[in-house]
Amino acid sequence: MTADVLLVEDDERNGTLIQLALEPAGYVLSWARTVAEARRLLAEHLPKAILLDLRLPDEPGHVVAREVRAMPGGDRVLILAVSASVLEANRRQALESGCDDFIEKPISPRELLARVRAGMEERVEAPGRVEERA
Amino acid sequence: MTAPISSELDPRVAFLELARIITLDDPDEALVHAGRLAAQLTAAEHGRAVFDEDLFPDLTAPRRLDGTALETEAPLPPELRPVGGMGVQSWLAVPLYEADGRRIGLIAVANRLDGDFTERDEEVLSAFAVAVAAALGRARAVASLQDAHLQRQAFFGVISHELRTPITTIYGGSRVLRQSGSRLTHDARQQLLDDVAEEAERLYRLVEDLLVLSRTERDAPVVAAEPILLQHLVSRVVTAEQQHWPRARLRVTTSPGLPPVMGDSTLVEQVLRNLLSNAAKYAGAAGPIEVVAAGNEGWVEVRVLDQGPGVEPDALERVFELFYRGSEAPAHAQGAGIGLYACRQLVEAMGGSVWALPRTPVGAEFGFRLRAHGAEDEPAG
Repeated sequence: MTADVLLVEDDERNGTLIQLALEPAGYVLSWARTVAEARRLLAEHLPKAILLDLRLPDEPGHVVAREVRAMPGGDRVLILAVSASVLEANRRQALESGCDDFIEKPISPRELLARVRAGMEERVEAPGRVEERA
Repeated sequence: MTAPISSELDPRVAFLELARIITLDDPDEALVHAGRLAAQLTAAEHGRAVFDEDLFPDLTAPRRLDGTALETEAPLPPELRPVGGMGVQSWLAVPLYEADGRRIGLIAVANRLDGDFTERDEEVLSAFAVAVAAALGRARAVASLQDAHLQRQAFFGVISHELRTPITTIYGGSRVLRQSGSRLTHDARQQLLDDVAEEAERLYRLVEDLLVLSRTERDAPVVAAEPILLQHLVSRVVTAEQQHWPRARLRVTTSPGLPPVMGDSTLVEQVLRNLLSNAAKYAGAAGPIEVVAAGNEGWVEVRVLDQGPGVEPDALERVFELFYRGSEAPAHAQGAGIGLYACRQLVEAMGGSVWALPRTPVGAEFGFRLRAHGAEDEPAG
């Protein structure tokens, strides 16, 4: 089964919580704990959305956003940075690397679900915006 | 200062001919460079020198400080050999001093337009050197303030991240339980409850470590000195920690008849908890973790021995630095390098010491020692 959402998160418990927020709503998650793992999964399948932690053990998370944007079809992926690193510099780096939005931890599961849903609907309804990006 | 520079010239010679000011803000480099310059100057026909010899510790050339022409009598290393015939007719050099009296470099000028350098020139250049040194000092102070600002930013970034991560689980987990707890399976609900409890504990510990940090920022931590039986404390803490790290196997060995140590039991517990969680995080899956309490000439030592990836030799000291995080950290290891720093601060405040050692063939040893009660006069061996 292919995944709708790629979760890139090294904290087990934060990751479990994100699973609990999204899976009951019908999203299928694959979970990478490192940037290297994310690369492997992305090489197999490009998801509709990526939830990206920025502080990961091997490399900073924002490189995933940059790499996805450079892939064929990578512009259509919704990328949300979900991070406890909330300094202005972290936020700027995430957005400059191609993330669509920056979500600060902590976040309620309901709000996270709402943001993912809204972001994905926007992507589907506004393909023109995707073209403009390229 | 507008004389044309010939591309044929050694840049150092051009430097001299232009009577340029040499201000080198790296002290070591300044000495090497100034040493080279002085070696060249020794070939000049006239000169004045007001720097003293130990400014150039590496320079083996003979030199006089009376301002008369100098001649080289002993061979110099090739890179310091005087450049003959390079057109230096007269020269003057004065040292640059920092406010604390440390020499940081040299100002040298060469080839006075009219005649030789005089004592008056020396006074002028010395006064100029004072102004230059003051400006350099201010530039350094600004740079160090900027560094401090960046460090402060980084510090709050790390702390904020470390606080928000467990809060995310507690905040989100409790919401899931409240809103949809009844729809979760029993196991999922139990897991979530455990996660929330564990992260609350992690948050509590982090705050305790941060308190140590804030105390050491102000002054030494305030510690109570009371006799503690480490063998009892170790058993109690290990039993409690085993609950937190179910996958790790913790084993305790204590020597019989250990004397009490002097310290603050709450803080000793914090130290041991940090060492154990460190071992469990990095090496919990690699094999049993042994905790050994033993006496050693007026001290009681507690050693936590794991079979994990170990510590790189050059990191053995650095692991106790604030925000140090090992490159071997597995993906699931949380933490920002605050725990071991807190350990060192606390143990040292209680008069003891901490250490990290490699083990053969694999693993690491983290330990601390505290003075046995009544052994205050023993040397800190």
